[in-house]
Amino acid sequence: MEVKECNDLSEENQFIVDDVSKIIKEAIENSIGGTAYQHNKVNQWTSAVVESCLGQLTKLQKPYKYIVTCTIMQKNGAGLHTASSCFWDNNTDGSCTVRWENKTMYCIVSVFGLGI
Amino acid sequence: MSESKPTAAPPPKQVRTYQPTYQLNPKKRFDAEQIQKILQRVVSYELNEVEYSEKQIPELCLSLAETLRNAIKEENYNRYRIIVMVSIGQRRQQSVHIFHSFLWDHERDAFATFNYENCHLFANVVVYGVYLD
Repeated sequence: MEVKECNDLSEENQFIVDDVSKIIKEAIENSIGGTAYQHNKVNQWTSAVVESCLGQLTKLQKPYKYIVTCTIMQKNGAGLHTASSCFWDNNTDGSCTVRWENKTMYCIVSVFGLGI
Repeated sequence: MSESKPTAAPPPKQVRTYQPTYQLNPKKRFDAEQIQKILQRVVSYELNEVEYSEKQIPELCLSLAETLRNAIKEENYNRYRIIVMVSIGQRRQQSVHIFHSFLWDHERDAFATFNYENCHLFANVVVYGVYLD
Protein backbone atom coordinates (compact mmCIF):
# COMPACT_ATOMS: atom_id res chain seq x y z
CA MET A 1 0.00 0.00 0.00
CA GLU A 2 1.54 3.29 -1.05
CA VAL A 3 1.51 6.00 1.59
CA LYS A 4 1.97 9.65 0.60
CA GLU A 5 3.04 12.50 2.85
CA CYS A 6 0.16 14.87 3.40
CA ASN A 7 1.14 18.21 4.88
CA ASP A 8 -1.81 20.27 6.03
CA LEU A 9 -0.01 23.56 5.48
CA SER A 10 0.74 23.03 1.80
CA GLU A 11 -0.64 25.29 -0.95
CA GLU A 12 -3.53 22.98 -1.65
CA ASN A 13 -4.96 23.11 1.81
CA GLN A 14 -4.54 26.70 2.82
CA PHE A 15 -7.01 29.46 2.32
CA ILE A 16 -5.04 32.15 0.48
CA VAL A 17 -6.59 35.52 1.27
CA ASP A 18 -4.85 37.50 -1.49
CA ASP A 19 -6.04 35.32 -4.35
CA VAL A 20 -9.57 35.31 -3.04
CA SER A 21 -9.69 39.05 -2.52
CA LYS A 22 -8.49 39.61 -6.10
CA ILE A 23 -11.26 37.37 -7.36
CA ILE A 24 -13.89 39.23 -5.35
CA LYS A 25 -12.72 42.65 -6.54
CA GLU A 26 -12.88 41.55 -10.16
CA ALA A 27 -16.34 40.11 -9.70
CA ILE A 28 -17.64 43.34 -8.16
CA GLU A 29 -16.03 45.56 -10.81
CA ASN A 30 -17.45 43.47 -13.61
CA SER A 31 -21.01 43.37 -12.30
CA ILE A 32 -21.65 46.74 -10.68
CA GLY A 33 -18.53 48.69 -11.70
CA GLY A 34 -19.94 51.88 -13.14
CA THR A 35 -23.58 51.77 -12.14
CA ALA A 36 -25.71 53.90 -9.83
CA TYR A 37 -28.07 52.46 -7.27
CA GLN A 38 -31.29 51.24 -8.85
CA HIS A 39 -33.79 49.46 -6.66
CA ASN A 40 -35.17 47.16 -9.31
CA LYS A 41 -31.75 46.01 -10.43
CA VAL A 42 -30.19 45.26 -7.07
CA ASN A 43 -31.45 41.70 -6.92
CA GLN A 44 -29.87 41.00 -10.26
CA TRP A 45 -26.61 42.60 -9.20
CA THR A 46 -26.28 40.73 -5.94
CA SER A 47 -26.86 37.40 -7.60
CA ALA A 48 -24.48 38.29 -10.44
CA VAL A 49 -21.68 39.21 -8.02
CA VAL A 50 -22.15 36.08 -5.95
CA GLU A 51 -22.43 33.73 -8.91
CA SER A 52 -19.33 35.09 -10.54
CA CYS A 53 -17.38 34.86 -7.26
CA LEU A 54 -18.40 31.26 -6.75
CA GLY A 55 -17.60 30.42 -10.37
CA GLN A 56 -14.08 31.82 -10.09
CA LEU A 57 -13.52 30.17 -6.73
CA THR A 58 -14.41 26.75 -8.06
CA LYS A 59 -11.90 27.28 -10.87
CA LEU A 60 -9.17 27.35 -8.22
CA GLN A 61 -9.83 23.61 -7.89
CA LYS A 62 -9.16 23.43 -4.17
CA PRO A 63 -10.79 20.94 -1.76
CA TYR A 64 -12.90 23.66 -0.17
CA LYS A 65 -16.49 24.46 0.67
CA TYR A 66 -17.35 28.13 0.11
CA ILE A 67 -19.91 30.52 1.53
CA VAL A 68 -20.26 33.88 -0.25
CA THR A 69 -22.31 36.74 1.22
CA CYS A 70 -22.98 40.04 -0.54
CA THR A 71 -24.58 43.10 1.06
CA ILE A 72 -25.54 46.11 -1.06
CA MET A 73 -26.71 49.25 0.70
CA GLN A 74 -27.83 52.59 -0.65
CA LYS A 75 -25.77 55.58 0.50
CA ASN A 76 -27.95 57.56 2.77
CA GLY A 77 -25.81 58.70 5.64
CA ALA A 78 -26.86 55.65 7.63
CA GLY A 79 -24.36 53.47 9.41
CA LEU A 80 -23.89 49.73 9.03
CA HIS A 81 -21.73 47.36 11.06
CA THR A 82 -21.04 43.73 10.35
CA ALA A 83 -19.34 41.28 12.70
CA SER A 84 -18.69 37.60 12.39
CA SER A 85 -17.60 34.98 14.86
CA CYS A 86 -16.42 31.57 13.73
CA PHE A 87 -15.65 28.21 15.24
CA TRP A 88 -13.29 26.33 12.91
CA ASP A 89 -9.76 25.15 12.30
CA ASN A 90 -7.37 28.04 11.68
CA ASN A 91 -4.93 25.96 9.67
CA THR A 92 -7.29 25.04 6.88
CA ASP A 93 -10.18 27.53 7.04
CA GLY A 94 -10.26 31.25 6.45
CA SER A 95 -12.34 34.23 5.43
CA CYS A 96 -11.92 37.32 3.31
CA THR A 97 -14.08 40.46 3.27
CA VAL A 98 -13.96 43.17 0.61
CA ARG A 99 -15.61 46.57 0.98
CA TRP A 100 -16.35 48.56 -2.15
CA GLU A 101 -18.22 51.78 -2.72
CA ASN A 102 -19.19 54.25 -5.36
CA LYS A 103 -21.16 57.50 -5.19
CA THR A 104 -24.54 55.91 -4.59
CA MET A 105 -24.01 52.62 -2.81
CA TYR A 106 -21.84 50.41 -0.64
CA CYS A 107 -21.08 46.80 -1.39
CA ILE A 108 -19.63 44.35 1.13
CA VAL A 109 -18.68 40.85 0.02
CA SER A 110 -17.51 38.15 2.44
CA VAL A 111 -16.13 34.78 1.42
CA PHE A 112 -15.65 31.97 3.93
CA GLY A 113 -13.61 28.99 2.84
CA LEU A 114 -13.80 25.75 4.81
CA GLY A 115 -11.41 22.94 4.06
CA ILE A 116 -12.64 19.44 3.49
CA MET B 1 -3.31 2.91 15.22
CA SER B 2 -3.48 6.31 13.54
CA GLU B 3 -6.31 8.53 12.32
CA SER B 4 -7.80 6.56 9.50
CA LYS B 5 -8.45 7.79 5.98
CA PRO B 6 -7.87 5.07 3.41
CA THR B 7 -6.35 7.39 0.81
CA ALA B 8 -4.32 9.94 2.82
CA ALA B 9 -1.49 9.43 5.27
CA PRO B 10 -1.37 11.04 8.71
CA PRO B 11 0.19 14.55 8.77
CA PRO B 12 3.85 14.60 9.84
CA LYS B 13 3.37 16.67 13.00
CA GLN B 14 0.54 14.62 14.45
CA VAL B 15 0.96 13.73 18.11
CA ARG B 16 -2.46 12.27 18.93
CA THR B 17 -3.64 8.98 17.57
CA TYR B 18 -7.29 8.04 17.21
CA GLN B 19 -9.16 4.89 16.52
CA PRO B 20 -11.21 5.08 13.36
CA THR B 21 -14.93 5.51 13.97
CA TYR B 22 -16.17 4.88 10.39
CA GLN B 23 -18.93 7.34 11.13
CA LEU B 24 -20.22 8.91 7.93
CA ASN B 25 -22.92 11.18 9.28
CA PRO B 26 -23.09 13.50 12.28
CA LYS B 27 -24.85 12.19 15.37
CA LYS B 28 -26.96 15.32 15.56
CA ARG B 29 -27.84 17.14 12.34
CA PHE B 30 -27.69 20.92 12.26
CA ASP B 31 -31.29 21.82 13.03
CA ALA B 32 -32.16 25.14 11.43
CA GLU B 33 -35.43 25.60 13.32
CA GLN B 34 -33.96 25.07 16.73
CA ILE B 35 -31.10 27.45 15.95
CA GLN B 36 -33.54 30.05 14.71
CA LYS B 37 -35.39 29.92 18.02
CA ILE B 38 -32.13 30.52 19.85
CA LEU B 39 -31.30 33.43 17.54
CA GLN B 40 -34.72 34.96 18.08
CA ARG B 41 -34.44 34.71 21.83
CA VAL B 42 -30.91 36.07 22.16
CA VAL B 43 -31.13 38.84 19.56
CA SER B 44 -34.50 40.18 20.73
CA TYR B 45 -33.19 40.27 24.26
CA GLU B 46 -29.88 41.96 23.43
CA LEU B 47 -31.17 44.52 20.98
CA ASN B 48 -34.40 45.46 22.74
CA GLU B 49 -34.74 49.26 22.84
CA VAL B 50 -31.13 49.82 21.77
CA GLU B 51 -30.40 53.03 19.87
CA TYR B 52 -27.86 53.31 17.08
CA SER B 53 -24.72 55.06 18.32
CA GLU B 54 -21.40 55.17 16.44
CA LYS B 55 -19.40 54.22 19.51
CA GLN B 56 -21.43 51.43 21.05
CA ILE B 57 -22.74 49.52 18.07
CA PRO B 58 -19.42 48.07 16.82
CA GLU B 59 -18.72 46.51 20.20
CA LEU B 60 -22.30 45.39 20.58
CA CYS B 61 -22.16 43.76 17.16
CA LEU B 62 -19.01 41.83 17.99
CA SER B 63 -20.20 40.78 21.43
CA LEU B 64 -23.52 39.64 19.99
CA ALA B 65 -21.69 37.47 17.45
CA GLU B 66 -19.61 35.89 20.21
CA THR B 67 -22.62 35.35 22.47
CA LEU B 68 -24.48 33.62 19.67
CA ARG B 69 -21.50 31.47 18.82
CA ASN B 70 -21.16 30.37 22.45
CA ALA B 71 -24.88 29.66 22.71
CA ILE B 72 -24.70 27.45 19.65
CA LYS B 73 -21.62 25.68 20.94
CA GLU B 74 -23.66 24.76 24.02
CA GLU B 75 -25.90 22.75 21.75
CA ASN B 76 -23.00 20.36 21.15
CA TYR B 77 -23.15 19.84 17.42
CA ASN B 78 -20.35 17.36 17.07
CA ARG B 79 -18.06 17.70 14.00
CA TYR B 80 -19.70 20.94 12.89
CA ARG B 81 -17.92 24.20 12.20
CA ILE B 82 -20.00 27.23 13.09
CA ILE B 83 -19.95 30.64 11.40
CA VAL B 84 -22.05 33.48 12.81
CA MET B 85 -22.52 36.73 10.86
CA VAL B 86 -24.24 39.72 12.44
CA SER B 87 -25.07 42.93 10.54
CA ILE B 88 -26.52 45.88 12.41
CA GLY B 89 -27.53 49.03 10.55
CA GLN B 90 -29.20 52.32 11.24
CA ARG B 91 -32.73 52.79 9.97
CA ARG B 92 -32.75 55.77 7.66
CA GLN B 93 -35.15 55.02 4.85
CA GLN B 94 -32.43 53.38 2.81
CA SER B 95 -32.59 50.07 1.07
CA VAL B 96 -30.37 47.12 1.90
CA HIS B 97 -30.03 43.82 0.11
CA ILE B 98 -28.20 40.86 1.55
CA PHE B 99 -27.61 37.84 -0.63
CA HIS B 100 -25.64 34.67 -0.01
CA SER B 101 -24.75 31.59 -1.92
CA PHE B 102 -22.70 28.52 -1.09
CA LEU B 103 -20.90 25.55 -2.46
CA TRP B 104 -21.33 22.75 0.05
CA ASP B 105 -22.95 19.45 0.90
CA HIS B 106 -26.61 20.30 1.31
CA GLU B 107 -27.48 17.04 3.05
CA ARG B 108 -25.25 17.76 6.01
CA ASP B 109 -24.66 21.51 6.00
CA ALA B 110 -27.36 24.05 6.82
CA PHE B 111 -27.94 27.64 7.81
CA ALA B 112 -30.41 29.63 9.91
CA THR B 113 -31.25 33.34 9.70
CA PHE B 114 -33.14 35.88 11.74
CA ASN B 115 -34.09 39.51 11.00
CA TYR B 116 -34.75 41.92 13.80
CA GLU B 117 -36.01 45.51 13.67
CA ASN B 118 -36.77 48.18 16.19
CA CYS B 119 -37.45 51.84 15.56
CA HIS B 120 -33.76 52.86 15.45
CA LEU B 121 -31.96 49.97 13.89
CA PHE B 122 -32.26 46.73 12.02
CA ALA B 123 -30.19 43.60 12.49
CA ASN B 124 -29.65 40.53 10.35
CA VAL B 125 -28.09 37.39 11.79
CA VAL B 126 -27.02 34.34 9.77
CA VAL B 127 -25.58 31.16 11.25
CA TYR B 128 -23.95 28.52 9.04
CA GLY B 129 -23.16 24.99 10.18
CA VAL B 130 -20.68 23.12 8.01
CA TYR B 131 -19.89 19.46 8.58
CA LEU B 132 -16.39 17.99 8.59
CA ASP B 133 -15.43 14.43 9.35
